[in-house]
Amino acid sequence: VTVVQSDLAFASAFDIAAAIRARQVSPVEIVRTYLERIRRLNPQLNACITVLEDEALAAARDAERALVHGEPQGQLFGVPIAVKDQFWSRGTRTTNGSRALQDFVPDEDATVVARLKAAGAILIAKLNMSELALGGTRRPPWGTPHNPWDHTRTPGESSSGCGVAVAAHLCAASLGEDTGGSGRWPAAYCGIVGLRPTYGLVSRYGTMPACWFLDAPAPMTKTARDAAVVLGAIAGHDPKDLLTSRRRVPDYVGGLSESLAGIRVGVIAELDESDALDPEVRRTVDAATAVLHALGATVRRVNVPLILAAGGMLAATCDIESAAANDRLFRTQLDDLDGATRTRLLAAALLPVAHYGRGLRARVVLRQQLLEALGNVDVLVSATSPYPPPLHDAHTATFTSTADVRARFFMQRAYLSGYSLAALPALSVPCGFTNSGLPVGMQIAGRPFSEGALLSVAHAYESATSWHTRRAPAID
Amino acid sequence: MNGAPTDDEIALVRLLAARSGFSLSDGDVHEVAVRFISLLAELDPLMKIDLSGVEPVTVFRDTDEPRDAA
Repeated sequence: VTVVQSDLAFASAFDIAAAIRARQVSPVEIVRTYLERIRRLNPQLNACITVLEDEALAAARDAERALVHGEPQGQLFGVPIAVKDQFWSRGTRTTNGSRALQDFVPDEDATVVARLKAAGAILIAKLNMSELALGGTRRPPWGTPHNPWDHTRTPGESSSGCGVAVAAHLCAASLGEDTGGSGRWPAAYCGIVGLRPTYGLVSRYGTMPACWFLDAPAPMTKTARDAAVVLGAIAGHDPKDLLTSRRRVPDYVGGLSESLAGIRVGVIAELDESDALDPEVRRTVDAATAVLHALGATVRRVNVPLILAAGGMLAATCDIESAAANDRLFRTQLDDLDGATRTRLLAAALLPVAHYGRGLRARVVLRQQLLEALGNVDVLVSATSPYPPPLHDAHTATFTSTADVRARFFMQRAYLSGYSLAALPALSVPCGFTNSGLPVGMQIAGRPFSEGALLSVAHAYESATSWHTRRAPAID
Repeated sequence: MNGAPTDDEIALVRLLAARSGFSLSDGDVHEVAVRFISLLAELDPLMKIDLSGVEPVTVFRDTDEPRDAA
């Protein structure tokens, strides 16, 4: 691998790691490159809540000393990574995107942060996000994150800063979190890769909870191969999270293939035929599916009858859990919370308990339907979002009618949340652009612990296309 | 129902919030009511499917996980 110096910031995390190992670039050089970009571009983009300039440079100097002494290097050795401000970072404030938590400083790292560091990564920034990892935040305390492809539009939520930072090349890779779609959604809107792992593959310890039985740390990266590297670094059993799997973590990078021969792809008919799906998004995802076919996959339509009810199921379960998880804030600092957060969680908190139970039961049936569909195909494919990134004002406007809530809240989540509810892995990969230059994402999902297969399909798709290499305007 | 909440629905939301011990401002009550009745409407189809034999599950067991691993 040869990384051209002028293109250093735009290189993948995988290539940067390789260049450092080959002594083509030094860790200090790459950290300084990204810090300079953050200083120059973050004031326009609001991707970061806290920039760890001194800490990152000190870690980079330590890395250089380790290189000189020939010490063992992890897969992400010297690679600058930024994480959503939902993950504990020892000695650094962790706000969960809320003014109410602006003074919280954890005394230990989240397991995922500790594992990234153990793999050699250098933590360069804590990233902006929707308040409490929900969505629709109207007045983010650390500024409104802007979509690098069009600053007047939302980058998607709730891992908004991750989408922005990776798309604007403010870091080599990032770690977001995906409860009901919060990693895949901004990935699609920002033209990057976002992977929601199987629930239990990655530890939640030190992740500030949105919904304890749905939360999943989510690699958000420039390429599918980078997602494989980051997932390999953070996955695996953690004694601090008893719900993590004891399965052996596979070599995700080594398992990548550029051929899809023998792969069976299922297009979810209910999502593809929904009136909510923007025609331009449909055409783009259809074209991407045709590329999968050209690479050797067989493509067929499958049915998942309950998938369009996923948004309601998510609100009836996740939102109630989130209201419960934040009950103390609710009762003592309600006015410190954003209007969108307050009204969303209050509505959920008033829901009769019978609906919560029904949501949990319906979720089991939805999982059965998805697994049944996956009995006949290897992966499921759809648009990640039914429409391209909307304007900020349209996205965060106060809800005034049930039709408005259905269109802007439930249908968006119908595309994303089914896999969260079913505890299945899913990723979003860039698959094209609208006529006005906005990114479109293709969602690829599979059976439990089939991350290797999903990453391989995405990697094969990237090998045959160039969407993931496009640069957002005005970020050079 | 595709429109704004009725006065009765807003009154119901005020009552539920008060009984639950939540402070609900005049500025928020309309949007909370919209979200609340929208959520009930969205869940309506789930009330019509037979879930009688289905147990609620929060965390799905990994049936293939090795049991003897350290």
